[in-house]
Order: sequence, then structure tokens, then C-alpha cells
Amino acid sequence: MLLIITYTRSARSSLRNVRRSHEDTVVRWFGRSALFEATELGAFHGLRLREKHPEAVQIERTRPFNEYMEVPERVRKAVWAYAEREHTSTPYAAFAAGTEHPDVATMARRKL
Amino acid sequence: MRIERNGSVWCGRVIELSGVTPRFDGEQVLDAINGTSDELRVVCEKPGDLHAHVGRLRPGMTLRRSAALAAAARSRGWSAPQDEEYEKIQGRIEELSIPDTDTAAARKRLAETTDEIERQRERVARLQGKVKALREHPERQTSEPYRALERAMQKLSELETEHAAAEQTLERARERQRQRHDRHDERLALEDRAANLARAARKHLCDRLHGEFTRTIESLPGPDDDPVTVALTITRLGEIRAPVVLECDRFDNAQTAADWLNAPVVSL
Repeated sequence: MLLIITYTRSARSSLRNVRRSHEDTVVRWFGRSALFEATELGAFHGLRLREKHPEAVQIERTRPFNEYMEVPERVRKAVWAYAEREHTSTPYAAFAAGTEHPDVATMARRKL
Repeated sequence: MRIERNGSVWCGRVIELSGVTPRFDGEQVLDAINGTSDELRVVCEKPGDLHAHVGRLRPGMTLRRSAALAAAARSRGWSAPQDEEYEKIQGRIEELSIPDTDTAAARKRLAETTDEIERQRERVARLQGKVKALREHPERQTSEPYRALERAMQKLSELETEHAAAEQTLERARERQRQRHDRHDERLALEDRAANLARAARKHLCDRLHGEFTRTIESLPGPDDDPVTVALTITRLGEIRAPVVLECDRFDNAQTAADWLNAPVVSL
């Protein structure tokens, strides 16, 4: 899908107008950003917004996220283990220390 | 005030133009009061914020009621408790400088080199096929396909270098854009706060004038929800020094209107 983010009041209200008059194109709506259908029409509306507010509209393309394909098993295992931790107040950094689970800095460094 | 048209001059706090030919146009008189008319000259006090709401009173007019009422309160010199905070936020919004970044050129260059590389790869593959075929027939005495392949591969490598450079340029542009979006976010949050404060200030001022407004509107003939009735009331409640263009027949004459409104009047 196309993620449309607006950064000024006027761009935000233009986005609101698109949402009002083109419900079919707008898949999801989050106030000043929205997901448009990844169709030519979705792109048309997104580009129209950016044409009108060149500096205040960001368009990104999203894609489905499959953790089994994109995320290494060690990260998924860490998530599962952390969810099962004994004390809910333990921060992840403390939880991971001295275990086989990846530490925060390492995960931050590694790109998907 | 003083109105001049084609050598004719009208002067006074109250000017009656209803019998004059050719007729005056209300819109044009209002423009002249605002100093934006070429044909007509009106010398008068500079119109303020309240005048922008009630400068021309005529049937069918539109009125933003609470904004106008708040402007009337302001014209009396009233202020709202939110004003100070509002000014502070406006100052911060003005100080926020947002650098220009445009990634369109970088995006376009990247797309173009991607296409060119694709075409060039196909060309190289084609030439490789030719060269291979030629090797199978050593009796043909030509080196042209070898040279063409060499040139094509050279060109491909140049394109790939250019593509990598375009990618880097876009990456840097994206980084700058991210910083700019942070600034935009900051400004948007400030603007939303300012808008909330302005709304609260308007409400405060309207509430403060409400009692007086109700008493005044009751003293006027005509329905309470009519924009002209409301606008006349708001004009009376405020302090207005620039002339009001009157195009309704709620008063016996222009003088009575001016007395009731407590404002200079041009009656059409």
C-alpha cells in the first residue's frame, strides 16, 4: 500500500478531503496520515496531494511483513521468551543480559 | 470620512448615497474603505479586525458569529487569559526555520539509471550471444562483435557507477528530508496548540459578551437568527471607527443607524 504522511495543517486538510471523497482508495486513516490502495488511482491521489503541497507530503510504499521470512529466528525467540518473563517490570536489556538472546545494540545495528 | 467619485465629493460621519446615480456598488465601497479600489476613493479610519466581519451589512450576508463577537470584544480592548501563551507559541512557530529539501531530482535520476542499466544488460547479453556464435565459426574473419561487446560492457560499468552515486545522493537527501519532517512535526504540534488556544480565547470573549449580546439583540426588530440582526448587534457592541456599508432597511435613516450602531455609516 502507499503510506501518505502530511506535515502541515493545509496538507492535512487536503488529505482529509481526499479521504472524504475517495473512500475506496483510502484503506486506512490515522488523522494526518493514511494508507492508500497500491493502484494507479492510489498513486494518482497521493501524487496530487504532493503536487499541491510539495514540501509537506511524504509518500512511502509499504509491503506485507512476514516475520518468518524477514526476521531471524533468534529475534523471534527473544520476543517469545521476553513475553513469558517472570517479572513484568524487567526491562528487556536486563532480561537479555547473560543469556543467548540478542542485546538491544546488536539488534539496532543489524538491518533486516 | 470623505468619498470621492469622478469629481463628486461626499463628507461626514454619516453619508447617504441611496439616491445617487449611477448607483454605488456595496462591494466597491467596501473595497475602497479597505484601500483596494481603483475607481473609488474613500478617506477614512483604517478598518480593524471587527470591520472585516461586519463592514458590509446586507441581507443574505454570511457571518462567522463567534469570530465576529470575539472581534467585537477585542475592539473594546478586551483580552483573553490565553493571549500570552498564544503569542509565545506564535513566536516559536516563526522562529522554526524549515530547510528546503527536494528529493524529486534524485528519485528521477535513480529511476532513469535503473532503466538504462536494464537496457544495457540486455544489450550486453545479446552481444555475448553473438560473440559465442562467432567462436563456433572461426572461419569468419571479423572482430567487430568483440569490440562492440567490450564497449557495451564498459558502458554498463559506467552506468552502474552512476546508479550507485544516484543511490547515495538519494540516501543523503532522504536523511535531510527526515530532519525536515521532524521540524514540520514540531511546527504542526505548535500550530495545533495555538489553534486550541485561539478557540478557547474566542470562547472566553464570547462568553463575556454574551449577556450584553442577548439584551441588545432583543431590542432590535427582526428574527434573532438572521445574520443581519446578529451583525448589527455585534457592530453596536464593538467599537468601530471605519465606516460600515449599510445595505439593509432596518433603520428609518442613515443617521438613526449610525447613532444606534455608534459607528460611521455609508448607506446605499
